[in-house]
Amino acid sequence: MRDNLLPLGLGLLLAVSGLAALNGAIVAMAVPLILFAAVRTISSLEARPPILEVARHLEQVRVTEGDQIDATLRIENPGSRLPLIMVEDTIPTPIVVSEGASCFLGALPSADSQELEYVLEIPRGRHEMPGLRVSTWTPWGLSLVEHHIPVPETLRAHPRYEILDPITIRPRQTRAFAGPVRANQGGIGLDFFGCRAYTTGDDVRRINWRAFARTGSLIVNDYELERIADVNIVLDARLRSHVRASTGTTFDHSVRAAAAMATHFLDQGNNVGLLIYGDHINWVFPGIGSLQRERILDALMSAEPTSKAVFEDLRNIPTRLFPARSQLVFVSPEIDQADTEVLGMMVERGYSILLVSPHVGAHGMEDKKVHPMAVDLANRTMGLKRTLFLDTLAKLGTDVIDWEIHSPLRVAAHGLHHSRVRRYRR
Amino acid sequence: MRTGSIVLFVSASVLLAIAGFTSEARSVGQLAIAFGVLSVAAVVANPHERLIDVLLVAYAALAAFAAVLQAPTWLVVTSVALALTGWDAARNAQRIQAAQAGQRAAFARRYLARAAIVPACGVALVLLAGLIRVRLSFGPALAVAFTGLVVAALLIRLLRPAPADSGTEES
Repeated sequence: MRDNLLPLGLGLLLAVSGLAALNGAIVAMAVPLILFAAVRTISSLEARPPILEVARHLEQVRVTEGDQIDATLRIENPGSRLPLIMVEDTIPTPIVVSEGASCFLGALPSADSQELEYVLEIPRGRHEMPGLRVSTWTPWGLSLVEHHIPVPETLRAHPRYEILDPITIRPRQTRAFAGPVRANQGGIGLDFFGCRAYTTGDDVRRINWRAFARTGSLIVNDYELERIADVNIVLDARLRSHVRASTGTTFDHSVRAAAAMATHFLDQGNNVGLLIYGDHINWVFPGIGSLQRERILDALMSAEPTSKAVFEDLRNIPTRLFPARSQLVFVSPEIDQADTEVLGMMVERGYSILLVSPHVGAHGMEDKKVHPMAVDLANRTMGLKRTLFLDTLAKLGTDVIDWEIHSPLRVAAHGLHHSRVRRYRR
Repeated sequence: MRTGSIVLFVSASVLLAIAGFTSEARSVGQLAIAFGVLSVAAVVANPHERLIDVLLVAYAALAAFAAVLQAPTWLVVTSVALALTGWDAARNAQRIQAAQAGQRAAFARRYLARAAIVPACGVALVLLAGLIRVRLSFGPALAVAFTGLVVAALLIRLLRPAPADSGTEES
């Protein structure tokens, strides 16, 4: 109806003006405009949404980011012929239709159907597909009727992550169950830990006969216990920590790194939790197994960088959530002086920290408006600053994975830069 | 649809320019050409709907000015009718952008064939009025107008297909 207001108003204005000026030509000009508005208005009074039977089929609803899924949309018209109709699947903005068309425009005869096939490329996140937008034009009046057919569907795209080679972590505190983390305690294990005097009940096969020959008393070998550990992953979701790169933001890469770390430590049997630090205390309570992996991936799926004054620096990190002397994996692309101090304090409190730091590399930042030499200088300055902070953290006792996002995380994890400080203090 | 809209707007501006130049109103002719260029740019650039609305108002205003300057009536009325159809096509072109090019072209043909009927009827009515000059007093004129309205409503009702039931089904 709103579409008719302009021609109607214009026609009436011309008619009145023509009558006022006693000019028949101006009045005549009003005729097509008023007729157009009148016909549209009359036809719109009887226009109503058509009956359509629709069914959308998606190949999968839980995918990994960047995956492509096939979608099929079937539209059937059991009612009367629809000569001018447009049916469009309302696809949320971040999802891209990479092949085919999600929109039908044309005529739909009675008892006929149309099938649309298209391929959707799904970015990370939880995406709601509400339904179809249907526009129908009345056959002669061409009055437009728009309505919505709900066909709700939720698509979940977990972050894409790499399978990592074993990463050695050495938290000061481990849990009671057998696992892959060396517990710094003598017992049953693979690696030699020390020797002690034989006590009743010790396995005879563990007696160190050479030591017995030398000392004359029975001495047994001890091996280092291997246990599971508490591993908490902290994802830095502060907006100021992230930059835009040619292959997405560093936040996307941070999420992937957090997912890779969580999966890796869960696969080893550890007790893994997740804290997304940025918007609010987005905390996944530690747990084990594949269900916990799904929980963590679900949380990472919806993670977005935010800017909240309360979380501007790491001082407000809720350390009470983490078990004492446990392992923390901190994923952040940019660490500054204040963050370095906080991480140093956490190391002093007994936490073992592994910092995964994705960065865009020496030529990551590009700006066409700025002279290339200035960009190069800025990149080098930032690189030096970054190296300085990472070196400081390494000296404080933090393990660092310095990951250039253009290379695989697996490669960067190989060169894990272990702390220079001996951390095993009893 | 967009091409159709451009053709219609350009035709409207050409007719208006001819009307302007034939009635010795060069400014009208020049403005009509300027509007033609502007409308092509507006439809190609696909701006906000408001600009297309402004274009229709501008065409109507310029046509009224040409009529005041004694330009041929049939030319100005036809140009307004063409601009109106072009405006309608431009608005719908924006609505159907998401569809494939082939479907859009087929739809545009079907739509424009129907959309042109009403403005063409308007022009025909005006031309007919110019040819048939009947003196009518107020009473019969009112009766004729009312009868015309009723006939138009009945005609549309007859042409309309059987109404579909309300509501939609989902599976």
